[in-house]
Amino acid sequence: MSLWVDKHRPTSLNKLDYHKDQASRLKMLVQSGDFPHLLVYGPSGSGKKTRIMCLLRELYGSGVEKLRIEQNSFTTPSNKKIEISTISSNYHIEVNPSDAGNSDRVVIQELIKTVAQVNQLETSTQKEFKVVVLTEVDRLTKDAQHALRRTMEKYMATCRLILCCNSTSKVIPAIHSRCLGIRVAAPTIEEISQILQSTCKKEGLNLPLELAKKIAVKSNRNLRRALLMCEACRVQQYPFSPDQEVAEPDWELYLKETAGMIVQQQSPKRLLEVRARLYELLTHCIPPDVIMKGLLQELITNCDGQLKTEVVQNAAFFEHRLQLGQKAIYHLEAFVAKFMAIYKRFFEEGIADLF
Amino acid sequence: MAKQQSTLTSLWTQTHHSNIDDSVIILSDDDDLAFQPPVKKVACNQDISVLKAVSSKKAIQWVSSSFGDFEKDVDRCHNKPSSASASFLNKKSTFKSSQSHAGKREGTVSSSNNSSLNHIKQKANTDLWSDKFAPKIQSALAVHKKKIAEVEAWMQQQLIANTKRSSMLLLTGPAGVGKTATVRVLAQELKFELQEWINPITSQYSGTFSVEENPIHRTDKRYDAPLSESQLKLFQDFILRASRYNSLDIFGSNSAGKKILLVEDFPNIFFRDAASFHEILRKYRQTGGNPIIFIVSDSTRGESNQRLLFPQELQQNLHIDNISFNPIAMTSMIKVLSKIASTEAAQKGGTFECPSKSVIESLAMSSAGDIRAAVNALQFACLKGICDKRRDRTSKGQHGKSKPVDPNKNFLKCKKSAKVLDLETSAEAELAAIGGRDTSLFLFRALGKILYCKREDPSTCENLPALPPHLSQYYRDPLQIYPEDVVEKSHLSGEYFTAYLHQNYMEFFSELEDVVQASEYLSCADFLTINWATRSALQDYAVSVATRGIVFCNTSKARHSSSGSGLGWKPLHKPQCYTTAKMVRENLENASFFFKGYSWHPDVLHTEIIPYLSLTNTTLHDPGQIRFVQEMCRYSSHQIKSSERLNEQDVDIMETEDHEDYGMRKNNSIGSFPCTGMEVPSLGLPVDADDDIPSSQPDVKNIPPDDDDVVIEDYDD
Repeated sequence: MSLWVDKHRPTSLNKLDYHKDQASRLKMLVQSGDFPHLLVYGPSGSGKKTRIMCLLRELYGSGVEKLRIEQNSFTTPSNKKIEISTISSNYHIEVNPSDAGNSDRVVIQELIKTVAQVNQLETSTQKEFKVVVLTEVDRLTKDAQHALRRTMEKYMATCRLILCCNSTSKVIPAIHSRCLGIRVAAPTIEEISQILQSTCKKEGLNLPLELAKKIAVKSNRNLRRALLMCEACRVQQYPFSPDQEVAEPDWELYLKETAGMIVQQQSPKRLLEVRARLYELLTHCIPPDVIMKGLLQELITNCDGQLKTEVVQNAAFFEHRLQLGQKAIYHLEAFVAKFMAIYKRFFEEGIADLF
Repeated sequence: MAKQQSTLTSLWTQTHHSNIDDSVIILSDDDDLAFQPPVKKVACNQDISVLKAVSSKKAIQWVSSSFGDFEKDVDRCHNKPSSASASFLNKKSTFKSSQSHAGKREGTVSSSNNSSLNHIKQKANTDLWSDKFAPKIQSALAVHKKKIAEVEAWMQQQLIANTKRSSMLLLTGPAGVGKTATVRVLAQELKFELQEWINPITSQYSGTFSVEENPIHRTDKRYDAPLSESQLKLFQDFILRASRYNSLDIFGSNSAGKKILLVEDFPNIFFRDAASFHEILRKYRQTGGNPIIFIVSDSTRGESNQRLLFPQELQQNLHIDNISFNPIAMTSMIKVLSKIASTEAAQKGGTFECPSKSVIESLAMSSAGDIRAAVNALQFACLKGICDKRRDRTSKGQHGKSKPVDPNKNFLKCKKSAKVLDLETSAEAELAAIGGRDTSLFLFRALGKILYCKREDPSTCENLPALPPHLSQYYRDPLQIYPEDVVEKSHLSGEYFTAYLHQNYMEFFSELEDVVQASEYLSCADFLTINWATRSALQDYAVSVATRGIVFCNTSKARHSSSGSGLGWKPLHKPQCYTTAKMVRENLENASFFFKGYSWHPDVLHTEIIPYLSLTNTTLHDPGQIRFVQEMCRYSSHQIKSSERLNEQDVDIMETEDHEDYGMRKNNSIGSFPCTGMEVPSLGLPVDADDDIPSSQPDVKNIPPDDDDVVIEDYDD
């Protein structure tokens, strides 16, 4: 299986399509022989991972592309076994410590210790440090982040960390200040449509500019998404027509339907139906915050100006709880109920004004 | 010393004339040592004799169980050696007593007689009322008529039907609701012979003990030998053989009637190894024989014996009928208690103080439908009355120190003398301490109590705080329940209880505004417990917020008169959020298994990659991947999966199930894809999912798999 997203992923810093200035700076950084810990952040689908892989290739050559998957198991002090899969080459190791849940601290400490204690084989030809890539750093517990801070300093000699996250707001300042922050901004609509067109050219297809723009807008400046959409369009219809529909994933359609149901009728019975649909979405591994966001975006289009602020305020209130709480469904449901009440009140007032 | 010895021997022989055996005593030759134990033995022998008398009497009154003749048998067996030993002892004692003064002996004997008489009197007083007043006829049973009729119908059916296959009946219900009593009474009325299994006491250690201590006991060991077989074997023998052979007609018991086996006392081994029990049952079912009645007491805790010993499928396979008893109703309980109290009063005459009606009522209330506990509590409560009387008398100096004082009574006395306050209220409080037990609620009822939130008539209550006029909308009639109390009695963690409430509260609300508030309270409850360090402490507050929030928000039930209006009975469901969480975990695991070659974050994988994989014509090498993608992209648009219904007696066993299931799935998911309840089309070729698979699918199959630009070597072992 190879999606266009994988197939046409740029492999070197030179080949990157946008933020070229930043790419050349990274190249300079590598050429200077050494580099600090990095904190790469930016929205989803902006090419953080691609950039990191390019950087590693620049550092170690094509050897980093020989990847293997390993299952590492760690034992917590409370004798609980944790299995974590890592992707590694001879020069680097990539791990998503948030898979470990609450005991991510152990994973981070053990993993970095084992990696850092083994020196590179040939220091003469290779760099003398290894790289540990940690993804989803913003999902780490505070405990793990503090552990990371200490580990970073301790093993500076033999290993470098590249941290990757969507937002730095959940990364503690202590880590933030120890790393060189690299922000990878989402590509602009123009950049995306250009990439889409060049990708299609490589595939031997002809993509009209209008459709490329349409996809780019619809993808919400998420390049990965844009490429996937483009590929879906290709399956849907070829040759492309400029006014063709851009396919959306099923869950989004389902979510939109759900939002429609909420606007249609406001009653406890309907809320019960909505709850069942929310459960269905959750079962399909759609993260609750994504559901909340999607719902709000759909619902807000049905609201008038004054109402919008109230709805958004409530959404923010419950989203905050949702992030902190354990039972997402309580908060999602509370938000839906609140929206129903607001909307119903607004509607009844509107009718009262008419007469 | 010699005197003392002689008195002791005489006392000893005296007791041995009453045909009670204690063969151990004879065996030691050393007098000084031998005389230490008999003193104790005498007392305990007397106890035995009294108990024996009572129990044999009881056996006659009660129902002539097949073990009745066993008891007699035992008596007979005991008689022989004891008479022999007595004669032996007599010789010994005459030899000893010849050395002592006769007059002295006379005196001691009389005194010992006296004390033994006292003892018997005492015993009769303290015999458990639950045994003494056990029902003998059907009308005396406090069990609901319908239940009795059900059991009776089953028994009569056994009487008529003479099928090869033996039928089994399972009686369940909380402890002390009269399951056994019903069976016994009915068996007697229908002329059934009841054969009960009683766990044998394995005599392994006593055997070794006797070998070391005294060689004579070796002969006894031969009789012990069959007992040291495994309980399992013994039980099997009992079950399979008891029906074969009739009991010997030596004692003129009514062996003409049909037999029923009664198993109430399950051998311990079956709780560890239920499968062997099931095996025995199957065998019994096939070989046929007399009907069996099993009695299992419920518990509100998770480890229900019924689930373990009689799983649903076994009950269906072997056609085991199940009749479950409910707690005894208050009215019949009060009736029985007052009847017992009055008969007791009639028997005792002036010395007995009949407890007041309110006392009986409060006893019945605190026993939570357990009639045995209630009767015993009543006895205990009456005992206190006697005690009070006695104290009065002792203070007057009429009675000496002749009556031994029970430490319990002593304690009560102290308590009483300490509290010379208001008699009525203190009595009430103490009664609760006597008869009360930790009541518990089945989950179903606990949820019902919160969701239906019955309220009291405010006119009956006094001193209700009034709300200022501008807050009158928040006025609610006083509640009949304490929400925290209900949660505590449900034996469930706050989190689970809240989840159950969340699953079910919506159906009880009619106003959207109320739902908004209630859902917000639930959200608050979850928010209270976000910090794991303080979670355990805050859990109680969270559940309090949730329950009280839901009770308060339901404005349609704000008044006592409005309760239950137009709602009727609603089914309750198990919380979906745990099953959902489980499925999410499973799906995530499967996803990371099928797509482990790609280092996508789970979020990205599920929101972007998998949905688009189903839309594009990418070749998936693994049929598991194909199926997984199809499944993950199918949304049930109209059919709402209703979660499992909650049964009246369900206890929460979700946690353990969850865990087991999880582990099992984990094993399964390696290599094969678990198809959890969803329809999975046959391999690769979609049956009904044309829209999920691109039209160009056949072409795609011919395209050779491209070489990935990322070479991934799988070192997974």
